[in-house]
Amino acid sequence: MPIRQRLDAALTATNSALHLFAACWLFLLAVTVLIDVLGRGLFNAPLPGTAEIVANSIVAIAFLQLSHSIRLGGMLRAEIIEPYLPKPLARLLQSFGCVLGTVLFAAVAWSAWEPMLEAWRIGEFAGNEGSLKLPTYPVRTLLVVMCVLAAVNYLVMACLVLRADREA
Amino acid sequence: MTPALFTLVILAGLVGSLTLGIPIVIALGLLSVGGVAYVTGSFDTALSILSTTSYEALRDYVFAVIPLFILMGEFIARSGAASDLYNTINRAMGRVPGRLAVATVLGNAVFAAVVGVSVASAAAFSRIAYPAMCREGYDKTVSLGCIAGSSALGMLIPPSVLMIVWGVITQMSIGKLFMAGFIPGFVLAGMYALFCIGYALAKPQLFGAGKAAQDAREGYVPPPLTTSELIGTFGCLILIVLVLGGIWAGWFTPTEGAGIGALLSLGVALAKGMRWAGVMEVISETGRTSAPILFLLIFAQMYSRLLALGGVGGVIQSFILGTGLHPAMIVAAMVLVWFVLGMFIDSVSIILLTVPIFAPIAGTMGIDPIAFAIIGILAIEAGIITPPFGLAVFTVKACINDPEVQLGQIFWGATPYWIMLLVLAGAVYIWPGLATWLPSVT
Repeated sequence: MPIRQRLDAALTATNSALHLFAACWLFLLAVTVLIDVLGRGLFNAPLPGTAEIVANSIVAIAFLQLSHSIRLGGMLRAEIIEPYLPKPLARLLQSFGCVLGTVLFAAVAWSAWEPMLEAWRIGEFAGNEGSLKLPTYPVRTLLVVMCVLAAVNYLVMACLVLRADREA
Repeated sequence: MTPALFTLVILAGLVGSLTLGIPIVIALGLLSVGGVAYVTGSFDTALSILSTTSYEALRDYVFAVIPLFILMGEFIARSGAASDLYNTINRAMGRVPGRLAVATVLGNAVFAAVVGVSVASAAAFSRIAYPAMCREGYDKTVSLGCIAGSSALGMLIPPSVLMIVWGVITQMSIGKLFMAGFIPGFVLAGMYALFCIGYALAKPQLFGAGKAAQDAREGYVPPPLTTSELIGTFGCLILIVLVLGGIWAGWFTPTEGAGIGALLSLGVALAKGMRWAGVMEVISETGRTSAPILFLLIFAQMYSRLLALGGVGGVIQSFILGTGLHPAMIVAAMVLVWFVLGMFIDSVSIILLTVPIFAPIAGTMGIDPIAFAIIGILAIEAGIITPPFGLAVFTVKACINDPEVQLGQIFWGATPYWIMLLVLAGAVYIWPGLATWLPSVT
């Protein structure tokens, strides 16, 4: 297998491993919510900090699943004129869309870089006084890393779309 | 640039990038960043808003409701419970004309109360109801139209991903929106069922009249329901009562209901014989559906910022109200926009693009926000069964695996159903109580 294909295989394997990890995390969230509700209903003792845990987890889960969704074509688009365009032009447009995706997620990563460093530096915490306070650096770091990964995936897709054209 | 010109540029940018097939998430994100940078005159401000939005937009308890309800729906959909519901209802119908079509409608209505996406219903019933209707000699156009049309119930009867997104965008109570969908959902199911019965009486040959007569002559008796089928049917009913009942009665929030529902539906799936591999498949599939929706929500919030900062909402509002049209005409125009957009882009994107602009206008005209949400969902759902890109129709076509069937045939068969959807939208406009009564009594 040429090195290019092997790198891409490693990339997609990373994507799907992260996706599956986040998927299991979501399942654990359902369990957490159940424990919270049962604790509150039966023993008048809700699980402290559930809201804070769930809120942070959803951000983490969404970003962990980003790259896998991108590669599977989960980011929906309208196919209005595409069927009427000549194949090469349609592919060029599709590739252009992917390049824009790289730009967007690179911008998110870039913009989130400083706040991440800040969170590391000052040990930023979020949450309500009295329930549970969680440090913000894990989710902030994850966000930057996942956006970089998403940008890379979009760049790879932009190339793959064009290459498919040349090989066809 | 005046606000009016800016509005035009933004709208043109959106329409242009959608037409070119740029993914909607990316078009929304980049246009918003660019627009905010232009309005504030500072690229740094735009980036700082981008950073805050991407970190904060989803960081709320309420957003867990989306993946958790999708998880619940996936467990039920993969467990084969839809097939059980269909068989049970079918058996209960006895000699109703067009029995299989009516069972498809009613099965969809019940199934809709456990799943939150129309495409899931369309996929499930294409695999279950279509073979059954073929066996009994139903006309293909009629049966596929019925399957695609009934799937619209999925987004109207709670839980519904569309209602969650609508609630998030307009900051309305998701629980109240859920309750608002109930009565219109049942009215729609009733309209569909009556249509099928009437159609079957008028044209029995399209509804397998010959085969039924033959069965009657031969004294054919259908086999009794199996234990697994009963588990599936009652499992769904218990889920509906507990989850939706619990939210309605205020025992728990929609997020909690979704979490409990997801685990209960795992129980149903296990009881019906789902094993480790199936469970993992469901969990993984959930992310595939929910992650794109969550990202749409992130960038839609950025877009809302842009609309507010650039005065876009205000420009469109004063333009529309300035025309002096009757509110009914303005709502009709909005319905038209939704209906047309529904032909091209997915329902969640439509809500995110239009509702931040439309909802304040409707509010100014004195339309009840809950009734307006139901009107909007009805109109958007009509779009998923109309050509050229009706999502439900494409799903049905992909699931039935019958090369003889043409897309146009399914679109044609589904036509009566979207007409009924639009009629119901009109009815909710005239009698908002259809939507607002149930949420008001809790």
